[in-house]
Amino acid sequence: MKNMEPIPETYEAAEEYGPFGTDELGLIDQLTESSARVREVVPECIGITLTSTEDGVSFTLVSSDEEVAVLDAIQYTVGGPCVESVKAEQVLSYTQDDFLGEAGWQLFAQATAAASIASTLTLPILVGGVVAGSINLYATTRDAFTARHEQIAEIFGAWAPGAVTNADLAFSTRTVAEQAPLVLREQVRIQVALGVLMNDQGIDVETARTRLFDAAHRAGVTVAMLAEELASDARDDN
Amino acid sequence: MIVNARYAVPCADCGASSDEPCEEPCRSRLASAPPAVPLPRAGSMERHRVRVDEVVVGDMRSAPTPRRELPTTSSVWLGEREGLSAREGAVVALIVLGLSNQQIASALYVSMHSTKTHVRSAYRKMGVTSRAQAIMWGVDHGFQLYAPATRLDEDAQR
Repeated sequence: MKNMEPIPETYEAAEEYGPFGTDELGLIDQLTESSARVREVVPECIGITLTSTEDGVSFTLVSSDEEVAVLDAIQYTVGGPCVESVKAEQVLSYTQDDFLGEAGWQLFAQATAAASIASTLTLPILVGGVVAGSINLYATTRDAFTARHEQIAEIFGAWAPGAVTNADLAFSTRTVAEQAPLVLREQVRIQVALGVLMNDQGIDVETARTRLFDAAHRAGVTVAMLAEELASDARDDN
Repeated sequence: MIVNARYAVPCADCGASSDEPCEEPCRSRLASAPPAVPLPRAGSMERHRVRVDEVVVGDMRSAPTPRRELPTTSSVWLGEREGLSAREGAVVALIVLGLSNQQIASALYVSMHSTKTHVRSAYRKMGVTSRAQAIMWGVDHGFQLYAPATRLDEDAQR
């Protein structure tokens, strides 16, 4: 069984804005290692998403499309519980044009992954008693995670009693994870703009944040747009 | 006589000729001096600029406050006192400017792997775990938010 791999946006986010912490083992390596352990417990698991609540960013690892296809094929041969839901998804219609170009293939990958999901498990990750993030796991069979919550929670240091099942059969966290590079880029712009405001106006970070967000709201622009403009002005003025 | 080419006309206040400087700054010549504010630039947010300027710059002008006092240091490079190596200092300087790892690697002529290693090592010494925290740390420790990247690297190499 192959290891799960990061979706391209997760890889890009880690490459461009990592590391996310100070551990020698990077985030993707940690997730890859954890996903391998999960598959020892739940072989049908084909996707994992880690979400950081604080940073509002998600990272997703998935099995290869070929592997998902093989798992699907096995279910067809045995008439497994996922067959009906897969049939339902097959009515999605694509024209040939949909598959031309990167966007088309991405759509296909999303649809394939989502169509294969028959069960999900969501576990909160607590830090100091506060929810710092969550881990979502996706499997191709309906009972894949049954009675395995605690084993999986232990792998991720998650809180087993907070487990929620089948909350994301559409694999929506993958779509969120595709925004990770953009989210991180905008966070950096905003931090730089906060620094500019702090230096220029002699204010603390919270005051700067309040001014920046209020100003963006009043001007009818996004905070990231305003942040970029402020940072750009500061560069030009110096 | 030193010819002062800036004056195109005789001074209306003190009578100094066009190639003579005034003994005191005179109103007519101050008025003809180049504008002290930058001219408007074309930008991606031109249609929002007026409103943004009203809101943000307007606020700044109505409540002028001095620039924050940045820490003074006798260190060779910023962050040295906190244990950052020259290379780590250069990396942090570029993080503070908002650059991505790829941009930092290009600016410093190092690999992506080296860049991430320097970032991780710097994070440990700075006591931060994210880019957002690193930028704020840099702001608090006197890193410039607008210096050209190449210059920063040269400084760090000295």
